[in-house]
Amino acid sequence: MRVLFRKSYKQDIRLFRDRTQAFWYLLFLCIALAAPLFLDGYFLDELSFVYIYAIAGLGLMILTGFSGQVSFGQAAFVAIGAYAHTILLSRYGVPWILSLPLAALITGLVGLAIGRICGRMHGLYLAIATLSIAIVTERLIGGGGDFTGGHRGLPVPGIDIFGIAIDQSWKTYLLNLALFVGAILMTRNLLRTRSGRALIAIRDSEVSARSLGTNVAFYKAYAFFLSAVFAGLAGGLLAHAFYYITPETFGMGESIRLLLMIVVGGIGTIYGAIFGAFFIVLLPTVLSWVKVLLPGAIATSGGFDSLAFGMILLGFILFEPDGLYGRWVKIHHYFNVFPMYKRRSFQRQKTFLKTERLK
Amino acid sequence: MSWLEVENVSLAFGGLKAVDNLSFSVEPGKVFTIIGPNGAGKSTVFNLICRIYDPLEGDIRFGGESLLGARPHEVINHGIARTFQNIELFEHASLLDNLLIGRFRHGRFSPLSELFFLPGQLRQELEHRRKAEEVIEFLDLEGYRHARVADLPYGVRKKTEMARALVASPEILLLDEPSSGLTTEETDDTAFVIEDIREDLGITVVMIEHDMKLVNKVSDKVLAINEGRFLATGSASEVQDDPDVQAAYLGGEAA
Ligand SMILES: Nc1ncnc2c1ncn2[C@@H]1O[C@H](COP(=O)(O)OP(=O)(O)OP(=O)(O)O)[C@@H](O)[C@H]1O
Ligand SMILES: [Mg+2]
Repeated sequence: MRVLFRKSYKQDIRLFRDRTQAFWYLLFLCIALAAPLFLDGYFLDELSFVYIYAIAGLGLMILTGFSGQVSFGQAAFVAIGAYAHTILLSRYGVPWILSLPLAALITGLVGLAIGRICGRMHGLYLAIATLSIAIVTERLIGGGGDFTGGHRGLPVPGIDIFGIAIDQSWKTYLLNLALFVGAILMTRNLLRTRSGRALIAIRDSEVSARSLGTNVAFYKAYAFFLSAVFAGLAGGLLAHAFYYITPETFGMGESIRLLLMIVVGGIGTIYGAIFGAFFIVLLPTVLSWVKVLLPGAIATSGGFDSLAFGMILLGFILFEPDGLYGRWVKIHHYFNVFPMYKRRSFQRQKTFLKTERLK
Repeated sequence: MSWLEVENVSLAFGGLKAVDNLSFSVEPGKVFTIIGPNGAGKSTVFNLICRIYDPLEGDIRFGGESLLGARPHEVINHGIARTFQNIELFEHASLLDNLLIGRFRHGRFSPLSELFFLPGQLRQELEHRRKAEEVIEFLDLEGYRHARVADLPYGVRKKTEMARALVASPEILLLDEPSSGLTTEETDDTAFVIEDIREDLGITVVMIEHDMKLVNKVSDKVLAINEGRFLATGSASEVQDDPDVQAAYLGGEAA
């Protein structure tokens, strides 16, 4: 087994633990940057979707994975971001470079308001409240008349940054990649500083978080704010990827898909959001390959995709609750210690009894 | 001079008087122990001090200032840290992260600086880490820094909770049954730790404890309560010899 030697406290604080880790991350970044050289437009667009979903997923991870507040309404924030951005661009002629952060901020403020209201709720109540927000948002946008384009939807103007038109797959790809990397860095920074630790504390034990000085309601609302900012950003980018937005684009189904995404990816980790985004965006493509191999009657039946998605999700919940990332950690460990692997390595020791909890 | 003062405090849960017109005071630099049979209201006293409950009547003062105006998350800013009877750790975080959350009160909310990890952050993080390491060394937790708290054995989890409270550099530490669930060796160790907390760190300790051996060893003053009411106070042996205290414990056993 590779034992990690730490020589300085900074190693636990810095972005990369050591040179090996920095090397791997930079290598991945280089490959991602070079992707337009060897992938065609179709795959670049697919990857763009992965990056955008990952940004929304990171937002949801902050809310659900880190602060422990389950949300069935993340797509509502994506919708608000998409509409705010599109309306700012086409109706008010705001330059793209301002419109996107502005849209993210507007979404964030809506999230903050909702966070103030939902901050006292837990579990099922919170799930229902956020679900209602998703439904109400969809209705409001649908009933918004000319301002939102109603159910007819809105066309999305092209991207123009300081006079440079971002109008080809490779250009949007690089733009999305840059924002995706930015979102990862921000999430990582959040986690290695005070506020991020407060969120984790609140998730695991509100009483003791409070006893150590965290204003629980405040930080819960802050998590909603950040989560909505990320969702708003993703919404703005998604609008461009779709060229045309309607309220149905961001329906309740989309919210649930986002939540499932982080569950499949691995709840509570940054990797989880990224792996989950790859999974959810690339699954239809993979399924279309699989379908070629299946008998026609099965492949062409309507619900095949949903069924496959549901089965995979069920599989994860039953057999790998830590998600794709959890599986990856285990495989990684397996190769590191080969041939001495034992399944027990990852079994939790239950050396204590949890009695009544003070709530 | 008394420092933490609980004065004529009462609290009821429905019809049950959990704390009944209770008064006591704790002097700085001492170990003050609260004993009493199960359900006597000991933990409730801690929860009252920590503002989880509002007393029906009475006042709680610390350093002359009433705590009743403070919200639960502000209590720590008065220098009061605590542990919980049924360990309340951040289970899915590492031991180190648990301790770093203990440093929460030594920072300010600065979202931009945090999200962009501006230069000041590294300095602050190193300072938090240095303090956490001091406590890790103090409590011999070196081997567990990066372990997930949920995976640690019970005794270590108990220590981690104490460490987390110490990292906050409190003036007064409230320990709710520090020895419950520990082995005899671990309990002996706890006695030394409590003495060191008082002697070396100069932190006042208020503890709730059932293990009389530990109580006798470390307490400067003992308070016995039953059914939320004052029974006796004094040195450990004085309180144990008190007929009311003996009756309360025997009554508890008979029931
Ligand atoms: N939140 C609550 N709601 C209702 N009753 C409560 C609550 N908390 C405590 N009680 C009751 O108040 C009484 C005192 O409880 P407390 O937890 O303070 O006892 P204790 O002295 O700490 O006992 P133990 O030694 O068992 O920890 C008990 O009868 C308990 O059932
Ligand atoms: Mg108790």
